[in-house]
Amino acid sequence: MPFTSPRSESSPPPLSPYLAQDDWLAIWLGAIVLSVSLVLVAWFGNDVGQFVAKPGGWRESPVAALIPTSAGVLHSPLVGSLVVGGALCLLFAVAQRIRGERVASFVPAFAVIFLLALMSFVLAGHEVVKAYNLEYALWALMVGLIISNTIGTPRFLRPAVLTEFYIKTGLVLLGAEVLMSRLVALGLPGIGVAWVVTPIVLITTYWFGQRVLKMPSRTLNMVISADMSVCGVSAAIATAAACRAKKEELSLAISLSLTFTVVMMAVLPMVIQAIGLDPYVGGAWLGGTIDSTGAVAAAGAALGDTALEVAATVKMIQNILIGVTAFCVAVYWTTRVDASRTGERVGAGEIWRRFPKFVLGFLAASIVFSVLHAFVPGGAELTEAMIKTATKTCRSWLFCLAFVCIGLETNFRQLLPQLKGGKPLALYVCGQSLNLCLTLLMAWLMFGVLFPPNGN
Amino acid sequence: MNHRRQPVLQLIACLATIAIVWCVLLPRLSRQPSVEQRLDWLAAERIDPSAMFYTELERMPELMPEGVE
Repeated sequence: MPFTSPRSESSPPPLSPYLAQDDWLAIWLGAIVLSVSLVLVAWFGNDVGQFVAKPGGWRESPVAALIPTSAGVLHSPLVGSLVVGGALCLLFAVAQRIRGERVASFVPAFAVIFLLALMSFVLAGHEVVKAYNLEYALWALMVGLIISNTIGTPRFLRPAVLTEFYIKTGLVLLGAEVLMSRLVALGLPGIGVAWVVTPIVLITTYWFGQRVLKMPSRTLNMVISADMSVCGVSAAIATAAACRAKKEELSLAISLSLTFTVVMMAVLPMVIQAIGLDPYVGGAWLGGTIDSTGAVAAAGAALGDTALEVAATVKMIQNILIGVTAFCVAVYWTTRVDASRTGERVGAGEIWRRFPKFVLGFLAASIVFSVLHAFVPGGAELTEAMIKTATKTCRSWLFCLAFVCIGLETNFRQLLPQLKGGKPLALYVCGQSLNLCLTLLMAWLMFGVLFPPNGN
Repeated sequence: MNHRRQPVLQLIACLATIAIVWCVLLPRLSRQPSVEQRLDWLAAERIDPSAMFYTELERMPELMPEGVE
């Protein structure tokens, strides 16, 4: 089940490919969500956030995730979630109509999948679960897997199982969060740790997987290499879509990443304290190696404010690299991997036909909002308010829906061949070991030797 | 008949396990002093360890170096 057009073979596109192909549709849907959010935030300010929500955190009762005692029902996450659900249902119903699918069968199926995503967010919202970096993607996958591996995915849900479509649209929204000005947040030291080490580790790990471990799947190799070297789950989603990895490969890469993140989040601060690393060097080491942003912050905070600031900023720079990574992977796959598989010389037209177009939407969103953020007066406040109050929540919902769908489409037996010989685990461990060594070396060189911070 | 019921029973067993873990065990675990202390510390620091992207980290704007918007 690679990332391909989910449109059935029997329903040819009735309109121009620029409107009917799901890559282009994802771009248009993303553009609509971004434009509407921008206008609403410009008119109503942060009040928009009250009606765009997902379930929150809770300790004692799951009801608190939906209707906290501090908020009335009208301003509760439950109402905000239902508003987002309704808006997404409307958007995707229109898209399905354009693609020649039946809206009447899509809407009830979407409603059920949305409720499963809501349940996944509630499960992910328990504070103990959150404290261990067990993100909603894992629980959404679990909820879908439970259904598909017990009673089987009911046929009536199929019209709304649109994994790639949700992911591609979510990635276009994510593009607006990739603000280029933040690439230089730490100056040369940050560039050294994030820009130099990350690509080296990504390329070396991928090469190691192909040449030494002889990974049976190039796409699995790439997704694991990217999620380990760049920024965990979000990088895995972006690269999996860019290289059209199989859905179970994305699931496996994310499970590996989350497992190691839990361990590294607890162990690395202890190692840093034990060897007496400077907080700047230690923070940069944490930021460059732990996959997930939240886990980086938790580990950095355990070492103090300085380590937290450096760790979170290095991780933020790595987050921004996700755009470049997805674009380079898409270009490499289209021009080299696909071409070598068919053994034919492919022209520019064929490369363009094969190129995953949604990546262009992702980059366009990043460029537009980076320019708005950096050069337009008041643009920074507007962009940040739009992301904070609306688009990051919509993007989370889309990814959550996608992971429920992946679970609904996956049988446990499909995951077993991927684990054969323990190669994915070996790839992750070897790549992360290289990452730990190179990042520590670069962090020490940048923050300890070449550019020691004032007073350090 | 039993064979036909088995998938439904498996689903009910999974849902029951989720209900027990999330509604009984995790709330009880979060009341353990060491766990409660850790959760309170994360809440006080405004850090969500499950944040996937930097925009999901509530404290990110104040963590960025001065001059970076």
